[in-house]
Amino acid sequence: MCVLCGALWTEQHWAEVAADEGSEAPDGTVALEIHVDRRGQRLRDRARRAQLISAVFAGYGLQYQDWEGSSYIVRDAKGNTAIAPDLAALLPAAEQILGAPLDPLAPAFLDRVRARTGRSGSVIPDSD
Amino acid sequence: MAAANDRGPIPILVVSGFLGSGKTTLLRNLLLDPSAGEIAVIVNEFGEVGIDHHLVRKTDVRTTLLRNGCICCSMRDDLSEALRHLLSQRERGTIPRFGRVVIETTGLADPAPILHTIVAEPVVRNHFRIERVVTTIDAVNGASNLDSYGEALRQVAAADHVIVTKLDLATPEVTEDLKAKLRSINPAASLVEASFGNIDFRPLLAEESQHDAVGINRLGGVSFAIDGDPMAPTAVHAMSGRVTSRCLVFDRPLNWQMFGIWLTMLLHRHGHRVLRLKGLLNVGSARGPLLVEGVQHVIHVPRHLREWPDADRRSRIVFIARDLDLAQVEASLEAFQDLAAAV
Repeated sequence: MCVLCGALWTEQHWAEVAADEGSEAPDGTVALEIHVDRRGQRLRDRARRAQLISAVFAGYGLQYQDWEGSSYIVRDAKGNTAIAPDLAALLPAAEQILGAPLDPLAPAFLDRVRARTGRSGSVIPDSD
Repeated sequence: MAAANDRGPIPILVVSGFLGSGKTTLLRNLLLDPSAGEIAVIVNEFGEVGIDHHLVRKTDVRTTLLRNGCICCSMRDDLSEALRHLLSQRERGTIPRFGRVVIETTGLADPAPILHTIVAEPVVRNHFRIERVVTTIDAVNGASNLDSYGEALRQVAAADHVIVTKLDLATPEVTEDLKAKLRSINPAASLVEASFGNIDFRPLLAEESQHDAVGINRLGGVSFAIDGDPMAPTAVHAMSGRVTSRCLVFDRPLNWQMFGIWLTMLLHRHGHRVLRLKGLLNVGSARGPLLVEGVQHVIHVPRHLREWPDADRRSRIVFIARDLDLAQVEASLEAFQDLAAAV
């Protein structure tokens, strides 16, 4: 738990570390001002991440929502819902609702993603 | 974050390598090397006679022995307990303040669960960090071990440095063939040669700071891959499957958040096939590149390097995978990045 923010977490997923985030002191401690500044940035990052996950999950017909900046909620069109604390736990929860694996390499899924970006004719490079 | 070391988390050097590849000889010489400093050692006993343990004990009394077999699966709790115990003794002053821990794995260990324990266990990850993974390979039997045993392949794929041992016993032709094979399996690792366990330990012990560009040295292999043909994939056939490596290069800055989502999904579904990934990412930051490293499902917390190693500002990621189409991986990452740009 962060005593400054009152936020409770068990583990921070590596992908939820900001790209420009790093400890300021060699011993890993962070100044209060930097911490407060980062907290705002973390919330903004989280909102943007929610937007991106929603876009990806749309390819599976799933809806995604960030809940209070502390959990992820995923649901399908039938109203099946699951809550996950971080990105790593979100994927199994989404698969359970979907009843199928989330495969970012599946051609059909990638076609749906490309259709959203107007690049449906993208060519896959030569195979190894 | 609490930090155990005066300069941050205590570095851990993981020494891996197949059975009889010279891990213990290497470790023994490392402990005798004056540049090594204070080292605590964790060894894993495998088999009926703990010979490895006795060899190490002669040179260092701060040895923790993991019992009951293989470190890779059932012993992860023991590994975290061993590290906690060492830390406790160090803080209480019952043992000298060691500046580094060396973990010698069994010859049959997959390094990934060991790395996972270090980066994921709540106490351990706040006090220790993975410094390097060093894998020894026997010049005489190495090639056949790579062909026959998936463990040997995974150990090489996970390595930052591969040490080719017993050069004195192998012909130059055999050694060159093995080195070519090692480069094709893991182009991101540096190759070091050893005879009778004697090597220059300085590259293995060099300071590597989160705040310094010294860490770029570890990416020499990536630069090497780029200097050649960046898109030239390599493939090695082994009993455990078709292992391919490929360096993905992206001209445009990558959206870091979408990269994180994509890689999380990729590893969730195909992590057991991704033996290793290592890359420098241009995420549009004014600072240096973002260093991303992973072994199977285990991703180290990404770190910003202070500066780029050269004038090339493109993102480069080396993937080593088993039975996975890396062209498809590249196409998938492109599609996700396009999506990030569109929403």
